[in-house]
Amino acid sequence: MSDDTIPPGAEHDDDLLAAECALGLLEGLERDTAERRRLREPGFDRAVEAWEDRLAGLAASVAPIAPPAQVWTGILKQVESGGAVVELRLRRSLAAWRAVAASAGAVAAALAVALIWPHTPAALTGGQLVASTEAQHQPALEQVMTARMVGANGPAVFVAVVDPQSHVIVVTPASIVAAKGRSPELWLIPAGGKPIALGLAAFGRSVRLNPNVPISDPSRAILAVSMEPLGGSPTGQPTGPVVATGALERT
Amino acid sequence: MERWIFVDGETERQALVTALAGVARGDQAALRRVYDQTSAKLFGVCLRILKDRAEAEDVLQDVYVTVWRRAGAFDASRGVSPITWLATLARNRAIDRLRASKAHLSRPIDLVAETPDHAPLADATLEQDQTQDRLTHCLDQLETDHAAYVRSAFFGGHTYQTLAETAAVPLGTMKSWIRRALLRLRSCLDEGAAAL
Repeated sequence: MSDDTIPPGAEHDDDLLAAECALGLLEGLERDTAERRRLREPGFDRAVEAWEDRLAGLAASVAPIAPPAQVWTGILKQVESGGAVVELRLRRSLAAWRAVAASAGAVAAALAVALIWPHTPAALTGGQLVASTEAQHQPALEQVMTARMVGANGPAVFVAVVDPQSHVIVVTPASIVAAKGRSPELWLIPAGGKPIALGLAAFGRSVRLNPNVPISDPSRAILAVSMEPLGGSPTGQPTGPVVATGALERT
Repeated sequence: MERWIFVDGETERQALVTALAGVARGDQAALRRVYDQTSAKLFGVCLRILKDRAEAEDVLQDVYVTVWRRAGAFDASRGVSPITWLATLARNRAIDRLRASKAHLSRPIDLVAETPDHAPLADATLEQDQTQDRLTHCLDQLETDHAAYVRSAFFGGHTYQTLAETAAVPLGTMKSWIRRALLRLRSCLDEGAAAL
């Protein structure tokens, strides 16, 4: 059997493509193309959602299993600690960004990213992003860095917080276009260098810093978010549409 | 009996819609209600996909933190049922995690393991028994192998490529099988929807 056994017209059937998207059957270029269409075509996006609904019956057929109590404890911890802080930072960053965007005459929506950039020697030995010699001479304190990230795909705001203790970035997108079926991926682009994958910028998920990021001056680096296939870029470089970029600045 | 399930389901659905609206306003007690009502179902889904308790717990936690931050994204007026919305979120997150770990690449298509659990219909978290029955019925109409491929994609994170490799058939053949299966599934589900 070969491709010619596909029912007539099926290869041009958008709804079939939507089903393939919902099930996650596609890879590579096919997937990228379909994911871009989801971002650009609300009708196609709804078709994918409709298939997700159809297929959700499969999930419904799974027997329920009570999760252990520590799951709720963990949720509560994140909700109580992270939530408020993130909201606060978000409002501030958003206001700051709006001022910049307005002054720059930008019509596009933007992303704001606040980063606490760890500069302590202890953090360095723990394998940190910062590798500059300048950084090592600085006093052991955390530097708060902000990237105002401007994109073109509608209102979207990311807040990223680097936790110097646990060496993670927590990225929280707010009011971004629903990202079902694709993964926003966070990139660090050193001045004159290639993008370095920092991990998936999924909602509220911790992203572990790459301990070997070869960056000499974080203040000249750019943060970017691209929409990648589920699970992240298959190539290690951005493959999907870049929804936002912005330079890191100390606040 | 069916009437009871239906009535109960409607109540459950409405309770969940109300609780999600509360979550969107930042009400933690509402989040707890959503959790109490749905966590066992979603944990089952995560565990089914990840087959690892620690990973499933981690993803489940992630799902509810996401719900906390994104409950406003759920729009009951679009006709999507709240449990469907949550189940899709959990499934996509679990598949996301599975693919990141690449564990699914070595996972075979298991015709037995990928068959449904046939959870009791009276499950309190399920208000969509009819929809679920219909899907099961429609999957049963497909050739056994083809239904298994659809389930493997849903629960195992398999793509056309990995399904073709696992089944040792050309990629075009696998695409052809699954596309035909999806078209048959759609027309069967649409017939069912029209009959309701």
